[in-house]
Amino acid sequence: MLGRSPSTSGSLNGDDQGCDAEMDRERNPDRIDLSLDAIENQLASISMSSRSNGEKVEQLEQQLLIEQLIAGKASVDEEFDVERENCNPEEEDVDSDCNTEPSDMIKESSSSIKNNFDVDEVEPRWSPSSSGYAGERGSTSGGDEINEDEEGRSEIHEVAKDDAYRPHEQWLSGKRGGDEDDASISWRKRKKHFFIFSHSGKPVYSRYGDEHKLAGFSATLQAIISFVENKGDRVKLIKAGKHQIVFLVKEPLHLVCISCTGEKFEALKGQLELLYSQMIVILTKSVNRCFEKNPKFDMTSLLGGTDVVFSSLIHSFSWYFLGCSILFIVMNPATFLHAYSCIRIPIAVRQAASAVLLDVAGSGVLFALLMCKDKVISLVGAQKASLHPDDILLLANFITSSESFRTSESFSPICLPKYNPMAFLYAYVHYFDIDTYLILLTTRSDDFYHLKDSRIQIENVLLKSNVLSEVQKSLVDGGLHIEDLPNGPSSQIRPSRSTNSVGSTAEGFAGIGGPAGLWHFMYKSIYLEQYVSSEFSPPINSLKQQKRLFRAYQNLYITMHDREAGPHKTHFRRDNSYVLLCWVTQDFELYAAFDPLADKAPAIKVCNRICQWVKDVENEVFLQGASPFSW
Amino acid sequence: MGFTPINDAGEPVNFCVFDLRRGQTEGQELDKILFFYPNDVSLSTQLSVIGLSEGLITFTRIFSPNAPCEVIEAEMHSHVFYEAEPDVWMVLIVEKHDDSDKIWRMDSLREVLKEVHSLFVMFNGSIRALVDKEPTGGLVRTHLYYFMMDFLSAFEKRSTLEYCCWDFSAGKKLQLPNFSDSLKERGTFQMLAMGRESALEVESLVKVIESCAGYTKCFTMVLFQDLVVSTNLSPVDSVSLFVYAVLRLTPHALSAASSWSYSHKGSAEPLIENSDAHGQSFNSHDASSLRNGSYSVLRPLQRGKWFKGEDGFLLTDIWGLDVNSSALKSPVMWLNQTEEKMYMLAYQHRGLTAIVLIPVSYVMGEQGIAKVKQQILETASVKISKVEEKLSRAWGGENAYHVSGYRYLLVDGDTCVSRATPPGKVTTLTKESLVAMNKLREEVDVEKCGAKWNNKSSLCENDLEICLRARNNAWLIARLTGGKELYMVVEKANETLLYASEAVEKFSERYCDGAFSLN
Repeated sequence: MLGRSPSTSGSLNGDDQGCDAEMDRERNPDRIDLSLDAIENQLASISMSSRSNGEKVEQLEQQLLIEQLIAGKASVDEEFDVERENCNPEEEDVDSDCNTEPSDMIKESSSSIKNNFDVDEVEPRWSPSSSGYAGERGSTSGGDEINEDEEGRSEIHEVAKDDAYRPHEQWLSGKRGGDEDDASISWRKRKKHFFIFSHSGKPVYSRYGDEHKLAGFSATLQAIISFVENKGDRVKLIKAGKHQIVFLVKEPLHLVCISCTGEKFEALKGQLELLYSQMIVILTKSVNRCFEKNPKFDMTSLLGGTDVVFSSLIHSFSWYFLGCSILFIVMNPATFLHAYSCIRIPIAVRQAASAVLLDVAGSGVLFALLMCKDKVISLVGAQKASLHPDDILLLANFITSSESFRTSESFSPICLPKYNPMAFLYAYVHYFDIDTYLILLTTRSDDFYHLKDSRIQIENVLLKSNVLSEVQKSLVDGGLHIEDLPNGPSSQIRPSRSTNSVGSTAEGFAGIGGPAGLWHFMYKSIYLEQYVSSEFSPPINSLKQQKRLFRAYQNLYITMHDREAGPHKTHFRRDNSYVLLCWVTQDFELYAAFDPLADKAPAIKVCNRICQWVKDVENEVFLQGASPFSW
Repeated sequence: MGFTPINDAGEPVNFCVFDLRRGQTEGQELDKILFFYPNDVSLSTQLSVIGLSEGLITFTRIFSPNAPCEVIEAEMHSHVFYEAEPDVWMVLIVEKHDDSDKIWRMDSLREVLKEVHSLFVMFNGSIRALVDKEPTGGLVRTHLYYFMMDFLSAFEKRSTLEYCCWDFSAGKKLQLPNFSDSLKERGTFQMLAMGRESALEVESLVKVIESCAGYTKCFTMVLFQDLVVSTNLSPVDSVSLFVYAVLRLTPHALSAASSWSYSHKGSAEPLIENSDAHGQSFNSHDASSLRNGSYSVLRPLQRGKWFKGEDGFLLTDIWGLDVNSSALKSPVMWLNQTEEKMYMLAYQHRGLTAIVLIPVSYVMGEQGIAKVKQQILETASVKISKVEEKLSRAWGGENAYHVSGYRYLLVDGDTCVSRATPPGKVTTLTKESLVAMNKLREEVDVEKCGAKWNNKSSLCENDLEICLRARNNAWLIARLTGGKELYMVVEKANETLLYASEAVEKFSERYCDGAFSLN
């Protein structure tokens, strides 16, 4: 498989050829390689169909985004250090809009990786009829697989196109700083680097810069790891001024983060763990076997074969995949809380959704998830199976970052690292609307039609019971707003949000925010492994402020859960930016941010009220009965 | 006595000083090494430690050119870096272990490096100057070697049993500041709290002493027991002189030294002896110079070298004998503040030690010093004994600064003054509380450092208040305001946060002039 030339799969491409291939498979069920090619073909077609179908829309979106960015230049600039060194916020700005063309390639390349890899390692699990989906999509299979060179050129073209919009839109497509290397000043000034390389020092991935040009650099990193290993030790962290270099060894892969964002070591290490897991989502841990066979195995060659074009796709894939993942890392507290969040909807609506998911879960579906963006609407698992919050995070990230999933139903092999890092599951993904999607996970590779039927069944119920419209409603105005915090047991009057943007003076605090200077909170139910956080209100307006707040929460979380000294019980912290209060009990963890001038006593009262409030609305904000033990 | 080689990899403490400007050509790397502890590790191990250190300094400069490698944290060891002078690095490598006492705070380890360097410079001038003075490196190596070994002997953890097997595992006896020192602050000095009347007396005493030195610009530090009563040196010089005084000059130090000499009767300094025995392996290319004493080495930290003369002045032969009078030479040191060479005179009466620093350039050699001594004896000694009497009457003993219910550390970063719960009382805290406080301090260190790199002019802007209810129900408190820091552990306290803040408030009002009060 490694040596497979593009033309092998190419011969199966094209609309008619796709059909032929399907027929061919029917006739020759033993011809696994052909069927795999077809799967690859099919997966590519998923992405390509979105390209062809949505091309104009995407171009428009992209244009719009660029315009927005140019208009919002000031706000972007504030996130920049000298010479564009701060890159994260920029990405954050684009989080919701960035699913333009490049994500097609993500999908395409990731699919291809899977297939490349599958053939090599997981081949036997594929049945000839595994690509039932190919039959359906065969007619739309574009000629992209046949023309990997062309694909490559198209990618190169896109990068060139982006060049015209530099610097702000460079990230729109392809890797930012893709032409940089460790000698570039701009590269050195990037605030947060991520590297993946094999234990022989071969680069697999770099967030910025060209992996090939960075071979020397990753060899240096590898040398540091080896040098310390030779002394019978293992390097974890190097500190230099504002910079931290964090090492994570996941033999045969090594991951390194170089950051000057001020995040704690434990946080950066957690991010590397997630990055590794995200790779497992796509490849499974079976990739290790390649290294067992050949310690000097070049993973890029597994990923891309000898095909230069394919590796250039990896660039865009890597960047984008990571780009989105970093967005999650920065913006999604799930990355450090190890909990997932649910969309707030009336309990009856959630029950309706859960009921229909439960129906299908009985029939060979391992997990059924109804999601809205990164939030869970409902989640049902087969008996005794439980889904780890980190897996939900990575799964949602994989799906929401790939545009192709949005444009048509998909059937894709996927690995849940916490569930079973060694094996693929198969994910049937279908978007009901722009935000809401269904994931049906199965162990059977030939379940596409069955799952498609299940989806139709689910869709009917969801439409009938207005679940989708309720979700949309909730998206607009459904979250918990600090201004709506009930006044406490003595008074149930909820002040109107519109009139209460300034904190209540009756609470002894007159400032921006909610009562007692409350700015924001997060509440994690330990038993449910879920969290709910309040919507952002003034003064936490900008993305930069939101990122800072989440990093402050993240630091707080790490302090509270210190490996040696923790877990602690209560934490009060006042600095120039906030008052932060954290309260950890056996049942829940509460993180609340207040105005830095807030008084302790009223702040504590407000925290108690928040806990009561969340309890009062827990049926709306949490998915009850989804905990691992309730099935 | 035979020598048992220590397993290089298992060495609990490594400490090295190296100069990156030296040994630049391949094969000459050994030239970089100016000092390595323990000296009996193989040269290849020494080279590998320095190689890794240099490699990481170079590597981290890619991203952080102005602040290269400061710390390496590995699974089993921590490496602490300190660039003492441009291109002169000190690296301390310690073993770590969660289950033992090997839980460190990096900044407190770095303070050890800073301390030894400032002491070295105080007596020998800069390392660079010594390197330049004699480019073969013999001079600087010899000075560093004896100085460092004398310094490190202060960290030896002793038991009678260990005396008989000194050189087997000298390194293992080094006890560096760990989590149990989380309510101490190196790089500061402690002052005696006095009433107004006493303060005025001390002030007039200092004037009298300085008048004895004539018209010259001199500096004075007065100590009562191990506490500073008065100093007109810069904070940095005050710290260095205080550290030296407490190590070697105060009554406590002198009595410790005499008991030490007694127990080591007839034996030379063990660490040094050890080194001489294995001098061959220490930078063999100039080991001969180390051993044959071709350099006159100043060993101001050598134990048992100070004694109190009949006239009350402290005497030592560390600086040798005067050729003309064959009397003991007066100690000489450099001031960081003025970069001036000073004579050091120390007069002691019971608990009180008065140290006078007089510029060498203003005094007519030993004769001049003798004159000043005479003056002090004639005009100041009476006043000194009066002040001593007064201070010792008011002195509450070693637990004078204990505040019941609190275990605290108070640091004034601007003046380098700290006050803390007496060590004996700190030991009553549980290990859990101390480890948690160690962690909390580490966190605050990071924030202080962050503020520094974000170009905030001082900590004043870094107002911070942390109250943490730990797993064992102790309250851990950190307060930073206006350049002052307060760390506190309150065990067996009420669980409400308001209780904890009230405790701080009360403490602040009573003992810190309200510096940490919120109003």
